[in-house]
Amino acid sequence: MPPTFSDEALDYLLANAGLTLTDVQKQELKTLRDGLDAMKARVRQPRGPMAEPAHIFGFTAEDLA
Amino acid sequence: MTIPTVAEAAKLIAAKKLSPVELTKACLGRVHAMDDQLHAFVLLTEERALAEAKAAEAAIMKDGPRSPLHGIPIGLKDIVDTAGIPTTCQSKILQDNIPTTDATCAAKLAAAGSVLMGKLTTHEFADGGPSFDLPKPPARNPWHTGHFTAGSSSGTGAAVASGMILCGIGTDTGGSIRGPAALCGIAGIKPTYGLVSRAGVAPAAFSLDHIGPMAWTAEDCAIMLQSLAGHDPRDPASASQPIPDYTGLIGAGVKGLKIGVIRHFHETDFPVAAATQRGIDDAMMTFRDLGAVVSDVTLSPLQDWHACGSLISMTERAAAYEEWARTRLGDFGDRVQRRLMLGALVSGVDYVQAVRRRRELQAELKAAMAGLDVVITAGAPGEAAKLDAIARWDVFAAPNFTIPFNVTGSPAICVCSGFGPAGLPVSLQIVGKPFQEATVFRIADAFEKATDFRTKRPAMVAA
Repeated sequence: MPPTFSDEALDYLLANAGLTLTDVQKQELKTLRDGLDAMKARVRQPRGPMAEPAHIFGFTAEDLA
Repeated sequence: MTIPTVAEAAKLIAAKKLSPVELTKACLGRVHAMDDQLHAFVLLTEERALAEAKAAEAAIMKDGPRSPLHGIPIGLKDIVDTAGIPTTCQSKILQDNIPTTDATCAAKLAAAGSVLMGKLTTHEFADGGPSFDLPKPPARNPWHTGHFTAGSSSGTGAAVASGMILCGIGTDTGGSIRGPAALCGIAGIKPTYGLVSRAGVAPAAFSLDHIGPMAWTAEDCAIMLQSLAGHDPRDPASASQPIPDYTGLIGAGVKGLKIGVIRHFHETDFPVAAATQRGIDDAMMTFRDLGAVVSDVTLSPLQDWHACGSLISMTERAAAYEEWARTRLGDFGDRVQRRLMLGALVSGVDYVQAVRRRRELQAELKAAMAGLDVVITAGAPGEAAKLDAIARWDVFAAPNFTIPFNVTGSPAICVCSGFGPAGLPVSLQIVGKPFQEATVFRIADAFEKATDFRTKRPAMVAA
């Protein structure tokens, strides 16, 4: 049996996102946890706190004009 | 009239041997003959097209063409803003949206003298999949109308393959140019991130979105990119790179070039169909015969790239459309509702970890490509599936061969590499270093000219 969200946890996440879903949609979302967890595991590496993200902030020519 | 490539038509128009009006009428004739089966157009702008073709013809007769696109019939994906022409994003939410200004890419193609045939269908907001609950039906594959075109630039893929337009605009967040190019048997390039302005184009995922050309050949994509590329202050991610001559290396061949094959992507990480594998293997033999040096390249598993791109994509999309998701979720089609719901399940920390992984993967590809000109893998796993066989949650169904290069922002083109047992096209994907589109076009062009796949159009076109 794959892990899933409890009703309470899912309700919290949906309320936080401001989404109002039907019961059918909620049940379907709960079945996706395995797939999402696998993706989340793949982006986590033993990299330490200094590893920078790809998106960085920089000034463009337009910003400095 | 046989369907010319953009390059062929441009030469004939410049020599005053082909009338832009006659060319446009021929394309319109194909639209009237086939689009009730293909549903490539959301909106056909026939009167405007004929007026623009007449104006182009008059200007060319007087002063010659102002670009190779002058008088060439094109189409725009319906997430590209067009002043005075509806831009609906195939959504109920924007059915009454008529922009007051052109997207930068639309303005550039108009300035080049192209003839706008109309707006082309798309998955809703360039997301989801083939849907039957949207304002217009999904596009169908000209090679077999029961099959998927891929998306989200589905209308552009179908319209180019069937000769209803000679080239068109697609957008690509995880493969939405290259997927339809692959399944419709045409050429489609996702240029380097930032090379073509995103201004005026509805977002899917800001940091993964690319705008690019789709056409019958790589050379035609190069011609189109020449008019599209360049810095645009309206796009905060716009690059400020010098623009080379993208057709300058067309015909130069591949002798001495170094090609890496990411064999594990399509052989072990997610094994492709036999016809796709054969197409890639044959292509490598062709490149060797033409004098290129071919070697294997190893990267992180395809699933890592897919996970990184997918998490970024679902989060950025949910942020972009959060306001409407909160207030009008039911007005989106079923597939986009599902995608937007996913955003609720990805935390801010998940997103940042994906963006940190992205930096690592970018560095990994850069290191792997040192000493190489391009790398190659599949463009799609096989021939187009039947339209009713596309998984509802396709993001979890299989890793995608195109999204790795949205993650890195690299230029990547899909070209036809043969046909499968059902008679539908298969493809390969050629990936270059940032801003090295001319090399990508050079290699794709050499492959197209060494093979005969560009001589065959869908049977319905010949009929």
